[in-house]
Amino acid sequence: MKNKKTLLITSLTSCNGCLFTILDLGQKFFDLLSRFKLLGFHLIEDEDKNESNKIDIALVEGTVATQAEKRKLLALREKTKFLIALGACSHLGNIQKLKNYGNKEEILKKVYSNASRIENLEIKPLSAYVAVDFIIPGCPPNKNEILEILRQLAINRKPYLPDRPVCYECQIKGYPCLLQKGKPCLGPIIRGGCEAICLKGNFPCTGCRGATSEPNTKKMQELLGHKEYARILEIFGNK
Amino acid sequence: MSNKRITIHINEINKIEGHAGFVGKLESGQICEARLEVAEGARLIEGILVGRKIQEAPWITSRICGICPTIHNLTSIKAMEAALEIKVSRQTIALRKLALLGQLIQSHMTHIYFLALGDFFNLKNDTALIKINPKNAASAISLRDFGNLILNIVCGRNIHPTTTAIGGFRRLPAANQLKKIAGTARKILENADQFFDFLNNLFFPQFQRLTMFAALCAENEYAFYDGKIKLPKNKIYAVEKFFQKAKEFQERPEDLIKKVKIAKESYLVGALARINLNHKKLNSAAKSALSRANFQLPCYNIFYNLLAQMVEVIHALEETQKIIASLKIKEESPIPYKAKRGAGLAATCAPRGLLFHYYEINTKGLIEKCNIVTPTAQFLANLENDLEKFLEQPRQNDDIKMLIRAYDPCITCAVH
Repeated sequence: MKNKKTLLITSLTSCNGCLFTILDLGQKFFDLLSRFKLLGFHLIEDEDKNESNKIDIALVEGTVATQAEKRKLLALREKTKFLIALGACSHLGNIQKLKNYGNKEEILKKVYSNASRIENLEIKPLSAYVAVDFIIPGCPPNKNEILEILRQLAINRKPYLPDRPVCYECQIKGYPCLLQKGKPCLGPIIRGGCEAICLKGNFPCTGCRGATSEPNTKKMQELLGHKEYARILEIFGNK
Repeated sequence: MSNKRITIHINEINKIEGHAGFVGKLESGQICEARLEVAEGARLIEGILVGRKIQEAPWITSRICGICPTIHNLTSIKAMEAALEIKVSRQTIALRKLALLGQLIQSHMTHIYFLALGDFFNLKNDTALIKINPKNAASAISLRDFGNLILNIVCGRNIHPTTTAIGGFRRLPAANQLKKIAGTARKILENADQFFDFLNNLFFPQFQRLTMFAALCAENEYAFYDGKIKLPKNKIYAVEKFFQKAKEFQERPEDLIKKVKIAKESYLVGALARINLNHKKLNSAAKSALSRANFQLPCYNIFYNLLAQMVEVIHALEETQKIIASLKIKEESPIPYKAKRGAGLAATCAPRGLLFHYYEINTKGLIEKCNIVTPTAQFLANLENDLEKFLEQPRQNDDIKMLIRAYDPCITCAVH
């Protein structure tokens, strides 16, 4: 195939779990790679490549937690046609954003006795820094969604993810409704596509994929109580 | 000898978990500095947990690391159970041990094949590595997939577990799924054995530096989930005692990783340390592989960490079958608990070595204090001491990276 699209997979501060999710595709991922020109994926290669290359598609995992990362992201955006925020860190801020809801200087001092030289930026989604062309949500993301989106992009199709709540898949799969059992589950307002995997494990939805386009948040708040609702939303940076 | 000052600077060491570079300084041929430079930010996990609900700790701390989330999750759960004085069922313990074997296999195979092996062929790209030996690639990938299979069945998901809970499991695996795991383990043991022999025949750089090892140890098994802490010469410490001795310190104000030393000495944790200390507890096929290994114990050459990891993968495949053979799943829910004031410390052996989670909790069920000490934080000083000695000879940047990668550092864990 001529004129293969160039692809870069990179990460900022995070757990790297999105990248391991990509590796979890195993042979399917390496087969898919033959449809792209890979410009970099630091987990599987250590090559010096021409940095001036234009990037057609960039998958970015993680949040900006240092000034150097901010520079890295801005420079990447300059060179990239289609920038994808991969996973809950880049989409929402994820657990590291929890410090925003408290006193982040106090939180820093709890961890480092000498905090004078430790950077402590407020955590924001990537979209607060740069234009984001597409979001692959989740903590971790669904590997099948990553595969499908890359396949769509390889053939010049506009990628698409459905906008329906976690409950939709949960009910299709026939998992018992935790909300009806009185457990604090965000399923009705959170975007599905995860195959309701937490519910499969009997774990309530805590919202790692962000809200659907028209969530009934008022009803959700009533059901869970304002305090509990806020607590759960904080976990992945939804608040 | 010249009086020249030389600085070696590697901006980013690829093929490790997380982001770090390397700085080395030589003066008149003498090494005066060798250290890893972190190239990511702090997430302040220990700080953000304060004031949050105790059941959030396992859910949040699993997200410290995408390659070993399950061990953080379970160590956090164990520490909370210690604080709450909950005793879990034997079935729960057996399933947790099984999960840790899955985690170990997945993490080790990722490191051995995707991160470290290319260095032994001077290949900088795993797609090239796959091309030169597709059969080996398939073997490594299927072993890694097997680790994930265990995690998906036992923990609900291979990255960031869903079924695990304080007091037990939210959902138990079905008996036929466990049977499937045991059957697969039996089938792929031969692959693992062959993969070990393939690794064993590679050329390993000959470099060693005497050091101290530390690992979890138990009476009747090769310990990952529970036990005491063992040091060389059969010195055994209670977990609390060791945790007091292992001192965390922030060397420079800009350091994101707090290193750990015992009586000012650096020490090694991880597969090579465990093999050195606990090899007598290995299962039979693992013992047999170890007897074929091209190194002698005690082994102080970190490049052999790959072989030690592969011995552990073989051990894990045997242990998986043993655990499942002894399991008869009965329905049970997590043990209910009441919040109370307390402190809990737990130690486990993560794929990269000893891991500690410590929490203080209150009567409202909220976390008041948290301290997490990761394997990479513990072996970092040892790694840098190795690098200093390694650089006494002229080395290429690729050699330096190869040594660092052999350690299998996890930067996101170490910073957390």
